[in-house]
This record gives sequence, structure tokens and C-alpha cells, in this order.
Amino acid sequence: MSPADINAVVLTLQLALTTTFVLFVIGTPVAWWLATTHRVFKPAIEAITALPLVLPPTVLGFYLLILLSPQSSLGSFIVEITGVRLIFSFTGLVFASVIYSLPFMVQPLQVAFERVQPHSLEDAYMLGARKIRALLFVIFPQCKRGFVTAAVLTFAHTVGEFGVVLMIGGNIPGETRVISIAIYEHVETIAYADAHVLAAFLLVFSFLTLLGVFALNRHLPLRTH
Amino acid sequence: MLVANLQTQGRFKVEVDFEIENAITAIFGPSGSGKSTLLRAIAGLEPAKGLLRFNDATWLDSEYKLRVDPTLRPIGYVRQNVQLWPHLSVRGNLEFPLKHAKRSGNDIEFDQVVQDFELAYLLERRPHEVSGGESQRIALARALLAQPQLLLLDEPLTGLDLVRKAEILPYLEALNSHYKLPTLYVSHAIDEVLALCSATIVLGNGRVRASGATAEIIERQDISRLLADEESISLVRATILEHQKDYDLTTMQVEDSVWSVPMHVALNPGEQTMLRIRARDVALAKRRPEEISVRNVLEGEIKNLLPAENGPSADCILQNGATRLRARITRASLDQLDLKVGDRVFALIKSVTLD
Repeated sequence: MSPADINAVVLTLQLALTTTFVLFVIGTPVAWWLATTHRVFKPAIEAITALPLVLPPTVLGFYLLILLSPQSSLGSFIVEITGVRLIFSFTGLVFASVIYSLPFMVQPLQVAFERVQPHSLEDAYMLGARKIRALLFVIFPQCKRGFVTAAVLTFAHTVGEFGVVLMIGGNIPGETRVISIAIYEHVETIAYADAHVLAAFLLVFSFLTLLGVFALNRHLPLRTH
Repeated sequence: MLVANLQTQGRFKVEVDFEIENAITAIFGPSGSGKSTLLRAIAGLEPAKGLLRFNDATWLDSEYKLRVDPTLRPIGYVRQNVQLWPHLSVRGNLEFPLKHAKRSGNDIEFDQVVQDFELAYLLERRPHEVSGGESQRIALARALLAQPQLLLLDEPLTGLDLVRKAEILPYLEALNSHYKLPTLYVSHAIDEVLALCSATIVLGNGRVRASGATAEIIERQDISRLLADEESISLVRATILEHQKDYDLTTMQVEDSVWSVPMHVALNPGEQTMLRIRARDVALAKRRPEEISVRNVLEGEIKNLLPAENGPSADCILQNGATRLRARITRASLDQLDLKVGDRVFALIKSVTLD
């Protein structure tokens, strides 16, 4: 593997880890809200969070490009207050990946929260635990498998993204040149041997990740009863 | 003392105004009468308006927009068919309130509760390794460890079979005598109410229909009509004497009489059990009957006579010691035997169900 490709691997892992962490923080409350609310607009929110599942990544990337470019009002506003440009930058890739991988975090968590033993929260209240403690010590521990599944799917899905990165990240080494972009570039320049190395790496890595999840899930039953 | 003047705000409206003293009070009524909703409102789990006071503390006062968070009300709450949390061991479930509740007061201690509820052998098990009756016992113990000053029990015995019920009843009674916590006990089973609760509030359609001493409430005709689907029964406490294997009978002491009851399980001598006796299985005689096949007789004093307003039957309530027995005879017999309150009669029990 050339230093440039190793760079791409490291960058990809950085992006996937950052995205997974950000989505863990954002996705948990969203999933909890979706699992517990009965409001009329819940289906609308569910549909919006699921959109990245069905939209071609290029569509998502296109809209993000329009929305975040420094020429747009939102993009220029962000540059003004944070000094960060969100297109053709690593930060922009994280932003896009968070949106792109949102359903992979939210949906497994929502399912896990919905499967929590009925009345768990009320029982915790009645034993004197306030909401944060009830969530941390009663609800979330019953959802271990959901958290593992959500994190791994989010991570793996982010590693595999291509269209969105291409649209808003471009191909800047060390900034936005992730594995999938590097492979594309190798194929464009007919450097098949280099493409093989990266492609095989991604294949083996993805397989091992999924193998790990399925093996782990055998020990974490759907409901820890 | 609990003072409640509540209107619940959910889809099902409950509107009540009552006070209870420091004892076990039954909230009794047919299903759909609002019993559980009322209990949830007292716990703070159900939106409600009005006034709710417990001893010196005000938990709800809509006028002053005051509402104490459910987690801060010193309540022990046990629901029907409790499921323990699957991610914790029995010990973990029991220790939860000790670790996470910011309540002080009663100093109810872990070891004491474990001993009282005989849970030591269950502590290291996972919740799926304990039976329904054991779960319910653990849930009661867990509620106590939350250091409550008021217990709310929402049909804690419903869903258990008769053997399991008989297993738990003594613990509930011990709960009352040992921990002396004022308790609201929701039930639609008249036998549980009779066995455990000294006072009763009858609920129908979300409103209080009657309240007072349990024995008097249960015998009121208008109340029995409210519970038309419930059969009139009496619950009688008996102490096992011995099991006669050759007759498949178990002899037991009921007040000053010895009864023999067909039983397939051999209970240990000295054990207490509850017998369920239907009013229509009890006949009355003015003199001690001799040479008859009925084996179980109890002498008692007539405390109340309840002839039906229409229909042929009349119910007689007689008492011997702590035991009250309801006999259903005809109005014609009532007149012919010339039975009056205060008469001593002999009740002949044709059939007994073990509870």
C-alpha cells in the first residue's frame, strides 16, 4: 500500500469513528423520542430520518453541496461564525456522513427502545429514580444489542460511502480522499493493482466487522431476559 | 393519613374524594371502574387535578399549581404481573432503589427485607429463573426498599394461580403487621379484600360508591349488585392438623371446630390456609345436626340478615371468632326457622374450595 493509500485508510477510519460518535450522541435522543412519542407528526419525522436509506447518495450530496457552499446563505453564515467551510473539507464530510448514516443509528436504537420491558420507566420512577438515572441504569442496559448493532452499522455504512463524499468532499488527499474515492481514482488511472489492495482491504474489513457483530449478538440476546 | 380529592385528566375520568387512615384499605370494584387509574393518579403517573395530601406533605394542589414529582413521593408501588428488570439479577433488582433513590426515612434494611420475604436463595438468580409468585414477592420487597411511607398495590395477586396466591398472602399479611405502612390495595377479588383489608372503598364508573369497614361494605346488597358477576363467597382461615391418607382428607382447625377437606396436596401440620366457601354451599340448622353426611359444621351467631328484595334467596351472615360466614338460604326457610340477628345457629358446609 502506498503512503497515499494508507493515508486514505486512516482518514476513512477517522471519518467513520467521528461520525459514529456524533450519531451516537444525536441519534439516541431521536430514537428515544420516536420510540416513546404518540404525536401525530411522528410518522413524518420517521420518514425524514429514513430518507437517506432510499435517496441516491448523489441526490443527498447535491443538496448538501448547494446548501453548504460558501455562496449560499447557510454556508456563508457557517463560515462567518465558525470559520469552517463545510464543503471540500473533513468537517463537511463528517456533517454529510451524519445525515447519510442517520437511519443506521436511529432505526436499530428505536427498535431496541420499543422492545424494552413494558413499564420499566414507570417502575424506576416509583423506586425513586429520576429520568436520567432511569434511562442510564434501567432502559439503556436492556438495549445493549441495539447499541452494538447501531454503532457497527453506522460505522460500516460510513466506511462504505462514496456518492456523498464525491459530491461535497471531492478528492483532497488527507482531507477528503477516503478509501472509496481512492479506489475510484485508481480505476480511472488504470492502476488496478492498487485498486485491488484497497478493495480487498475493504472487503475483508467489512466481513470481519459484520462477523464480529453477529458473533457478539449470540451472547447478547434480543432481550436480556 | 391520605386525603385525596382528585379528578384525573386522561381519557378515562376518575373523580374521587376520600380519606384513609393508617391501615390496609381496599379499592374495590368491577373491572373498568377506575381502580388502577386512581392508584396511578396518587402515584403521580396519571395527570390529575385537585388536592392530594399525605400526612404533612402536599403532593398535588392544582389551585397553587403544586405537583410533587412521582420520584419524590415516598410511595412503594407494585403492579399486577410485575416483571423484574431482565438485565439485573434478583439482587440487582432489589438493590436498585437503595442505589438510585434519594429518599430517606424508614431505614428499611436490605438484610431484614430479604429475611422477611425469604429471598436469600433467590438473590443470585436472573429474573427468568424465578417463578411468577417469586417475582411478585421480590417486587414487594423491592418496593419496601424504596423506603416508602405509603404502599400502593395494584392487584398484586391477579394473574397468579391459587397455589401461588396462597404462597404470597402470608407475606402481604406480614407486610401489614411488621412494617405497618398505610396501604391502598386495588383488587376485584372479594376474597383478597376480606382477607387483607380492614377498610374498603368501592369504586364504580370512576366514582366512590361506598366506603367503610370491609365487613359491613361487603355485606351491603347494593354493593353486591355492583359486583353482580362476583359470586358471594366467604373466606375462612384454617390451620392444618393432619392429612389422612386413607380417606384423602385433610383435617383442619376452623375456630373451635375441626373440619375435614378433600385435598390432593398434603400441607404441613400447623400451616395456615384460606378456604373459599360459596354462600350457596352453606346450609343452616338451629340445633347441632347429628348423623348426617356433611362433615363440616361451624357454630356461630347471626350478625346480619339480608333477604333479597326480589327473588327467593336470603343471605345470613354469621360469626364465630374472627370468622364470618355467609349462608344463602331461601326467604321461606328464613321465616320458617324464625331466624333473628343474635340467634346461635349451626352452619353446614357442603363444599369447600382451597384458596
